[in-house]
Amino acid sequence: MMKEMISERLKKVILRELDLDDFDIVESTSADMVPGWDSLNHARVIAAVEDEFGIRFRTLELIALRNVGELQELIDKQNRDRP
Amino acid sequence: MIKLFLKTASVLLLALLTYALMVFAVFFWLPYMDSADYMSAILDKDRLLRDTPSPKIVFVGASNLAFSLDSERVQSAIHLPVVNLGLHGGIGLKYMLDSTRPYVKKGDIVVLVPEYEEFFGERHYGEAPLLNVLHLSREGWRHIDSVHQYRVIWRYALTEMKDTIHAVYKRSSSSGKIYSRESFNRFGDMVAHLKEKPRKIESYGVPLENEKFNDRVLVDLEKFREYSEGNRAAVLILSPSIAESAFKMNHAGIQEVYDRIRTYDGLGAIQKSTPEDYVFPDNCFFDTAYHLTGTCRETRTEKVIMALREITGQRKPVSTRRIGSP
Amino acid sequence: MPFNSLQYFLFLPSVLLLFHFTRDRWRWVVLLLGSLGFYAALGDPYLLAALATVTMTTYVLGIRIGGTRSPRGKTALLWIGIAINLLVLISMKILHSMTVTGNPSPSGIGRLDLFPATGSILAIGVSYYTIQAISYLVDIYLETGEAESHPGRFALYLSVFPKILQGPIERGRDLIPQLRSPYVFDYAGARVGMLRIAGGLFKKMVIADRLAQYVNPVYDNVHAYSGVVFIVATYLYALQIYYDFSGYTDIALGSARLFGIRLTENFRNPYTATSIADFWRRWHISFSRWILDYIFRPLQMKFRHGGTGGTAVALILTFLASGFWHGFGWGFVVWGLLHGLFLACSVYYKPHQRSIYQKLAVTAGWKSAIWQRFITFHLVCLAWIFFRANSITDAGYILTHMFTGTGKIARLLTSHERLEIWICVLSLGIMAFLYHLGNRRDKWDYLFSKPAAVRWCFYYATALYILMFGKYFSPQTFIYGKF
Repeated sequence: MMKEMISERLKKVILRELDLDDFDIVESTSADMVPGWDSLNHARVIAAVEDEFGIRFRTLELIALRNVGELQELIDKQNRDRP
Repeated sequence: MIKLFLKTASVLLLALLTYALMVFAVFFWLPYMDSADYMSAILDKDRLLRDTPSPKIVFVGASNLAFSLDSERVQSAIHLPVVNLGLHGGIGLKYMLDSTRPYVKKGDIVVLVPEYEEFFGERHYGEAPLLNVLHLSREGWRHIDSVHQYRVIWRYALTEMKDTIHAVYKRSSSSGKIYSRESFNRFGDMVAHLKEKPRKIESYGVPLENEKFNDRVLVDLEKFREYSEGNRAAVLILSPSIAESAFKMNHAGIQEVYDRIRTYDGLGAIQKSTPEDYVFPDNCFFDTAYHLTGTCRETRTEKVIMALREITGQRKPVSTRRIGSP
Repeated sequence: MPFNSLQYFLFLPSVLLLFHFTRDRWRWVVLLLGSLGFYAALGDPYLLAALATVTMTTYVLGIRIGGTRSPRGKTALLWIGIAINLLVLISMKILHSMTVTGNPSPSGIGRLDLFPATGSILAIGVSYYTIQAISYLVDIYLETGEAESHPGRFALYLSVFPKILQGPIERGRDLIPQLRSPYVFDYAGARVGMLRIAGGLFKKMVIADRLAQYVNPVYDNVHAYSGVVFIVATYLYALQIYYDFSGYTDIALGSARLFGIRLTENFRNPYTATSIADFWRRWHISFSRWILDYIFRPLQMKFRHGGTGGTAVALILTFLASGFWHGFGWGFVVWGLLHGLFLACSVYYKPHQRSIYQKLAVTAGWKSAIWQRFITFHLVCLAWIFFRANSITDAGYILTHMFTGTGKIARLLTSHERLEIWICVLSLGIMAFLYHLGNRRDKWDYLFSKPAAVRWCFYYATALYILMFGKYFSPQTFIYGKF
């Protein structure tokens, strides 16, 4: 079973919000590993991701997020559930 | 674990012992800071109490009695020698009673005039002035028998230490000031203030409402009465002279003191005045709400004499002199 | 019972010895009974009822949330748990403020006397274990923590005596594993624990209670003062509250260490903070982490489409809540609001900070660090005025009369013996020295590397110092001053 990869689109959004040129983002990457991704920017990053993919998460699901892999899962779930 | 425990305990014990030793050194090896100051008068008063033959009149209380009483006048009116022990409320009523007790003999009249603050909080165990007294008079330690008084000693020990050590290399003297040992007359009355103009008293409230009435004061007063009357001496309780403004500010607390004494078994009968009897206008006072001066002092003395006459009138005369003659 | 009392001095070694010599299976019983007795010694049955309610409901709900599969069910249980805990917290606070005159405060921080007028209902400890319980439930819900099935251990998690009165607020994953692991007597750790207790007593009894002598007359009677004395009193209060709270925390952490429990650090030189955000990473750390994780983050996430404004509002609301947590008085609320506003402003300012510094040609160096600390300290002090003042009008009076002269300073400084000031200065100097020492190396290693004679002299001198200069008596209005 192939593991979910982090889509290029997601990576791009994150890097753009954090004003980073390049950073290796994988499933296990968590916010504290990425320079500039602090609690103040976190919400902005999520908001930007939502705008990029045209989706809205529930706040409760977002609070439980631990790393980028879980964020990707949330995106994929939304996409699957779409008609 | 036990090792750690014992080590800790030994360090703490050592520190405690050191502190106790320091306090001991201050009280028993180093001299009192100023042998001419106000508190030193306690030595003269103690001597007076010891050497005056019975039957005598003894006044027990605070600076209220020191400033606001003319003992010579009392003596000529009642024809009994008078000893005025009043000095400083900070000594604590308990110590005042305990140190007077051994000298109360048959035929004596003891007049207790406790200031109102003594009845609240833990004040009657004393404050810093108690340590002054204990420093001046080694025999005073015999009268310390309460844990509370030891707490007072601990609380103010640092102050006494500092003052004593300071005086070792920088002696100062209160000579010439009003608040000094030489301002007392041969009866123990403070008289130096009589020549001075009255100062403005800070109309402060004795903050009675913030503290609890202490029932133990009544217990101690009653024990004193019982002992004295057992020795065939009379005891009475009179109210201290107080300035009108302070009286108004603390009316509730003062009333409580009066009522509690009045309703206490054994004390009610010997309370021979109401607080209002001894309220005087503010301009009668020298510097605090308790220290009378001038003619008001004489008025107060007269009231005391009247109260004493009531007592002596009821008793069989102990000498052939006519008591109560003008 | 308060930490700085003879009772505690006898209680601690007794419980410790009993704990040490009990079989490992039953140690938790000793600790739990000791902790309950400790809490019961406050003499207030309502407190025990509050603790029992919180403990039992949170214990049950924790297991249920962990065991429930359906998200809706989990969420419902979580909200029930949060509601019950908040209800207990709020009702105890209301009861407290109804029966105490003046500025009500939950843990005594505001007025810094742990025991308000007799006859009033205390709210000590409730503020701490209720929010700790909430964090426990939320962590289970988010699956970042697991439920504790042993009721005794769970009860200890909430009520273990070193932290029940004033925290720190412990996360389940930090404290519960420690309670599970068997106790091993650690000589070095116990030694550090005791020294920590001594340090706490020094901070609280020698420094904080002594500074209070100068702060209280001013703040309790503002109309008798005016001018620079307010500034001085506020600085002194800033020191007082730090030494009081961090001293208490030292005693808590030191006591816990004796039982092999390591609680979280609560303070990290807060007045060296270079910004308000930095301040909150150094002051009452366990509490600020709590409001960050359980109030700010969710709010910020909720407002994520509001941009910087959303974050700013989240900050203000978070710190407003923090104010209410401290007490239902206006002073606390304004204090919280001020900190929220400061942080909100910094959120707008921060992105531009670098360019502003470049424009002003300011380089990051020791000078700018001092400037930042200076500003931060004064912002914090400004907020303290509202925290300490007995009413909003008093605080207003202080602010409007701060610069009107220097007259009353002498009166304040001479209100107590000069010796008191010397002891203050000496003690603060010692603290400054230790801080400096601690910056360059681990203080404890430094001490323990010295020969035994030196160490024992240090212990002895510390004990003697605290014995001589500690404030053991509640201030009695000193009527009979020497004339």
